[in-house]
Amino acid sequence: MRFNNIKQLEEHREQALKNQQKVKNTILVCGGTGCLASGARDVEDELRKQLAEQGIDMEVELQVKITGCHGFCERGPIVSFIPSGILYEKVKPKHVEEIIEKTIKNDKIVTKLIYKDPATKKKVQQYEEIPFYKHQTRIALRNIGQLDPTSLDDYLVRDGFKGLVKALGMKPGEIVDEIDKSGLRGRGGGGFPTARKWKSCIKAEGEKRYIICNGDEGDPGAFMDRSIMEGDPFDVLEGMIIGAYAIGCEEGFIYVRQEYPLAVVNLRKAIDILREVGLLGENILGSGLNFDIKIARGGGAFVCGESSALMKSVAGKIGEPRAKYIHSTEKGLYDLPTVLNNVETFVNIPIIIEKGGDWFTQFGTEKSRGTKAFALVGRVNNTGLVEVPMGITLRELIFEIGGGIQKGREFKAVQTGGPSGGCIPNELLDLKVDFDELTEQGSMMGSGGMIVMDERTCMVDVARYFLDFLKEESCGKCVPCREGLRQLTALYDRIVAGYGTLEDLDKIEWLAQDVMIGSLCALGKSAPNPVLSTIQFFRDEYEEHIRDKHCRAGVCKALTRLVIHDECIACGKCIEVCPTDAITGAKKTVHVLDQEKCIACGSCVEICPVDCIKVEPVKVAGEVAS
Amino acid sequence: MKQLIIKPKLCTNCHICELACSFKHSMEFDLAHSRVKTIFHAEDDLTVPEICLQCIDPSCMKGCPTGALYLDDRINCIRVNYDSCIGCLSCVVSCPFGNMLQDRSKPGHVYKCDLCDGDPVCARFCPTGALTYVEIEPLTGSVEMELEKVEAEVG
Amino acid sequence: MPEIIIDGRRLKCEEGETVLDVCKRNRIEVPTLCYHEAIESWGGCRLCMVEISHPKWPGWSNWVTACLYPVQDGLVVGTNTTRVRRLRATVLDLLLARCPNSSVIQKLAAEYGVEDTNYEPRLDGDNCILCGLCVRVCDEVIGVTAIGTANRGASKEISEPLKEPPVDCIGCAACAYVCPTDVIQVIQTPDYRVIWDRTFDMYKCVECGISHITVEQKDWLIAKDNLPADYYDLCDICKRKHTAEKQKELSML
Repeated sequence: MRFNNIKQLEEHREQALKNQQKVKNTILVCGGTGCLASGARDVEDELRKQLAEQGIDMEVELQVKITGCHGFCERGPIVSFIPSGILYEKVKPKHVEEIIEKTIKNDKIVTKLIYKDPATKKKVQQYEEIPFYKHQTRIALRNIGQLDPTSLDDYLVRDGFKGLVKALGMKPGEIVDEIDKSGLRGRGGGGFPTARKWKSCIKAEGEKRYIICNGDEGDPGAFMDRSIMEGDPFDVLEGMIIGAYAIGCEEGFIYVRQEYPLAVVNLRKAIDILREVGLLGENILGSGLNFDIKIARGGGAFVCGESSALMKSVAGKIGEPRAKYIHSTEKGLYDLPTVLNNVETFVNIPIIIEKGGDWFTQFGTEKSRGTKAFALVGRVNNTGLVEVPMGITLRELIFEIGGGIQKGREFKAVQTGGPSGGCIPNELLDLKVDFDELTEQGSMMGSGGMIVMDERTCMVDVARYFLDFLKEESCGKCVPCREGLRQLTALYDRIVAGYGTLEDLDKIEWLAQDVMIGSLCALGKSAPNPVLSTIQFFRDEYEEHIRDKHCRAGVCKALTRLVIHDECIACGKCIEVCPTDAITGAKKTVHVLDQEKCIACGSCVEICPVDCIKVEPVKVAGEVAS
Repeated sequence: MKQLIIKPKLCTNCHICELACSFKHSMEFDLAHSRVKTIFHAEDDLTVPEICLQCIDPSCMKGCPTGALYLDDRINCIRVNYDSCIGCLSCVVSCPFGNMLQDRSKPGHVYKCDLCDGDPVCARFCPTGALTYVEIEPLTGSVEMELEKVEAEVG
Repeated sequence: MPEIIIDGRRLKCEEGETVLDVCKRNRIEVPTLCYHEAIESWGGCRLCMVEISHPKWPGWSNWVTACLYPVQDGLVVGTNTTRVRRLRATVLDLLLARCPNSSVIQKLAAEYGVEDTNYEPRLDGDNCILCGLCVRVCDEVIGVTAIGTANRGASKEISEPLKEPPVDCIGCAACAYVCPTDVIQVIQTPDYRVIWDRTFDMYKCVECGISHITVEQKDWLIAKDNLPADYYDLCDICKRKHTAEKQKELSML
């Protein structure tokens, strides 16, 4: 099968729609990484096995599909149903029999598998009614979880390639104008206006142009791009084809991390299918457009997400950034004009072209149009993948969609923008999430990592953790980043071990400022963000570490002394969990903690039903062995 | 355009050119540091002062991978830009006349005649006129004609 | 022709030049460590940072590396502002912590008021500041790419492939020549040269036996320019003798 023109594509779409209408029931098993890890594959196998045993036809009337990530990873494995819209959470193979019996055969609900809102204690059976989904606006993630990522028909049924069809009827300039109208800005973190990037590449001179999709999402805890590439690869490719048509290029690359094997597999399948049907290759849909896409796999270096390092890596060189006084739109891959956009940016393109730039402007704020996907992780109840209109406040994001902090603890800070973002404290929770407001507060929206922290997080340790990560991930090309981050980590190590002085704190600030303006690329320039923002908002915690030798969260082991207070009800739970047998005690007597043996792991604090084990300052540095 | 002219028959092998050159370039009187070298042929009782010929199509320049050798067209002299030199010695081995020199005490350091920026001390101090820095007409005719002209001049 | 203002001086410059080019031509002191004229600018050492602003964008200023920033008409450059000096001092302080024994770094750091490092010195380290000149000269200029870098971040180092004597090395020692802190060890005898843990035989003059280059470098040069095999057989001194011989004959005519 090959589509030689638009008519043939549309005919095929009609046919696919007709086939789809015949299907009475579709079972969607989430194949996101989270759900796979919690056993989605076993559920799928069990489903297929039992359906086959019962002689139910799985071709026409009922289909079982393994889809991309639904986003609600906290509750995985997720199984949902089309058209009924029912969503089951935490499904195990043992539930399959009941599901087939009740839901598939008799349209009834398996009550124990549906979501229960922890706030209202109400059971919610419909997908859209769950608060986690209700407050979301899904544009970039619109298809994920709703289709089989490797099926072109599924994609066509969900309006796939309508954007491309429309684009091919437009002039390249008109496409860029439409994007300009939509106000789309790059979703990779920088927030550079996409249309301006494309225009500057079109203007640049060069015998060839390249288009690259940046799928090197390296932020710890972030998985937006991964979910898109795994769950909706055709959408990414369609965005790239439209981009290629708009800027006039014949060769494109998708740079995917080595650590995303499923993304590579699904993208490769999608590319093969598109080549087969003539949506990639020569003379696409008879329009005269020649374009092909190759997959370039990254070795997992965080710095290769930086545009110039990424291009070096694609070209087979060491992924080191260069100064971008001359933009990569003029001198990019192989020194030729190159457009590099993020995965999420590309998936927004087809729908903007299909529905028009004006349609897109209804979402988001004046300067940040549209929606943004976030990986909401950390100490929040509903961790997972969410997409919200820009301009939503952090409070809504964390407390309404995220369902608040785990175990009813107190919110302390949220770290936005990946390892080089800043920490936003409680008092700034009403900040709007967009490209500009977070930056003003010393953080950034970044590519969309969002790590929520509660009272049991030590802010000094957080800054140290991210510094340590960046120290290892720095490419080592420029001195401030390579040496500066090493020295900053050394200073933090002193504080965390209890040997820090207030002078060290000044030194950290001084050095962080210089690393910020002295570094070559965005990695180094933004690496001090967690340092400076935690010092700005949580200076008292630093001073506590230094002056009082006290880590109030009980995270810095050398500064943590656990003490059992008299409220102890002698339940013995702490004795059981203590890995070093440091706690002793009998029934009806307050338990005793041996400081010599204690490694301050905090297991006892976690399990104590009456919270009688408290974190107290150590008296002298080094008193508690680290 | 002025050129450095060598007239071996006038040379008395007094080494003054070498000492002057050495002093000018390294502030010491050491024959090893001189860009010019007098070579005595005992059998013919003739001394030839040997110095860079400032070739029109210089091999040293072609051999250099960095473009550190360049033509100073004010004085028609091939010169070394030390900021561009990477010490690979390609120029030394490329010069067919042996006039690109290497400082053996400093690895990779090369040097050559720079015509003392338009006032070569070797010629200035040559007592006999074996080395002169004089205005000459540019070569125009065939090699034979030019040779005749030079012979007529040298005598 | 664009004109820029550096430290209050209005200077003419050419299209496509960098700020450092203009500074060098006008003898304006800008320290560099990873810069070499023959090698493409890299912007790694961050010592040549200067402060820029432009009358077209009032209120905007930035810090850029002079070695890479292309001139544009009207650009205002400060090479010695307080912030620039602080940045350089920090960079040198960090380098001094990395290489406390390097005299080059000690001297430069002292110029910016850093006598002793404020940071944790690396006591067991060598003097390598990872400016990458050796790797770049080998790759870009010589063209053999015999050495490279290994690891990244704080544990990055200059290294031979697989930490074994580099097979592609021709022993030209250009890397050692361009090294600003003289870290690369070269053992030179009349017969052999040891560099990067590999021993190279020297190519000796067929007449007098002294040598300039290694056998590998000779072979490589001959192959590169497609020269006769005996092209490099004589040393400079013997070549001079031959030239003098010819000149003698010429003057005997």
